[in-house]
Amino acid sequence: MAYGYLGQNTPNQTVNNSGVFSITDSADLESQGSLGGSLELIEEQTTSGTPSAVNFTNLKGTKYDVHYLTATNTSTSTDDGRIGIRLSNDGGSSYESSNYQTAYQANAADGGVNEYRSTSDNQMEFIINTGTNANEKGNGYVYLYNLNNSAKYSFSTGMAVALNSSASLFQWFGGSVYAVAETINALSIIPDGASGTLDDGIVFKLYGVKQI
Amino acid sequence: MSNLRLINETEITSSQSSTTVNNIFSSDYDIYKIVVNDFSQAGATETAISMRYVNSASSILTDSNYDYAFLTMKTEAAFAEGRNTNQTKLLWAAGYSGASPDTMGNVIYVFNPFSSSSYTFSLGQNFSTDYGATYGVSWKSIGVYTQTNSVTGINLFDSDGAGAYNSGVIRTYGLRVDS
Repeated sequence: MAYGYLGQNTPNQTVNNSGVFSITDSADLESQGSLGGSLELIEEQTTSGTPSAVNFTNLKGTKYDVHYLTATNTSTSTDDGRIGIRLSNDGGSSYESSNYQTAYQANAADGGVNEYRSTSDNQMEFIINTGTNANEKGNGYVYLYNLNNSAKYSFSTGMAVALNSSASLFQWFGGSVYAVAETINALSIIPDGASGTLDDGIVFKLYGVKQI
Repeated sequence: MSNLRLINETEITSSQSSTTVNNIFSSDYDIYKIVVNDFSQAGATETAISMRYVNSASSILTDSNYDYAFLTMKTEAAFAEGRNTNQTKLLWAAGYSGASPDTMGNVIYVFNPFSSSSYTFSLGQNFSTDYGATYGVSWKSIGVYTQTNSVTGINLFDSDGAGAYNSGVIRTYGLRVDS
């Protein structure tokens, strides 16, 4: 089938033309996954002041089974602080503080390579070891899986890079699981197991990873 | 149009031990992002999900030209490395599948699969849960198929022979190139 803007070789546009999509074209291409972005920005939030948490209460969970969450310019009130994620099963009225497990590898420019693991974490880990001095910031991402699936565990994999309290480069890579099979419909981004505050100017973006 | 384009979505709805998704790699893209999510076993026994490539004749490439290395990071035990060369598969490229509610999720990048002048490389990150989330395992892995053959798809399969899976989804995205 030829489309007004794409020619016959979907999904790439391989010929120049000035055609436009008809309604039928758009509907057909969208059903194939060939139209529109493959990451939908569900919500972006920037911290203002020093909040104790940033909450996302609209996950579009019925639409996506994989989410992508990014953080830029992070720091907390704690030196070498962490940023984590807690999950909610009641739309954000409360957030779970137990039943998390984590494993990650940490690579520090001033401290070698280390393992961290826990079967009793109080959050999913997101950003690790960010200092509090100017420019000691963290940046990273996690994929979140199966949040809306009541029959499966929700888990994450991610990676982040930061400058720690010694202004040395620090990286972590790994994942966390919330070991309760239930529907998750909100998430909260918190500092250090809900201790302290997030700093001003952190940008969090939550995306849905496109599916048909 | 997006710079990340969904090429194929394959959903597993019946019990099977091997799943091929072909005609996803082409000259349209150099880099592919494959999201493999939510494989679960039909029975109680967990199994490794490994990967091989497929050519345009729909033949699964089982020759001994796969090299891989990975780090497994368990929440309840010491981390472990795995590596090997000249193998018939990319071992545990998609982690492992357990019985529901155990599950897994992966993001695997594949580089230059369609090229007939370069090897096919991959790197991935995964999380799998085990034994009713008694523990979880995070992985990072790399792999290469050391042939310059053009490959057009992937085959995911139960490489332990431990039992079939009956759910899961495989989504393949292409990263836009301007030509």
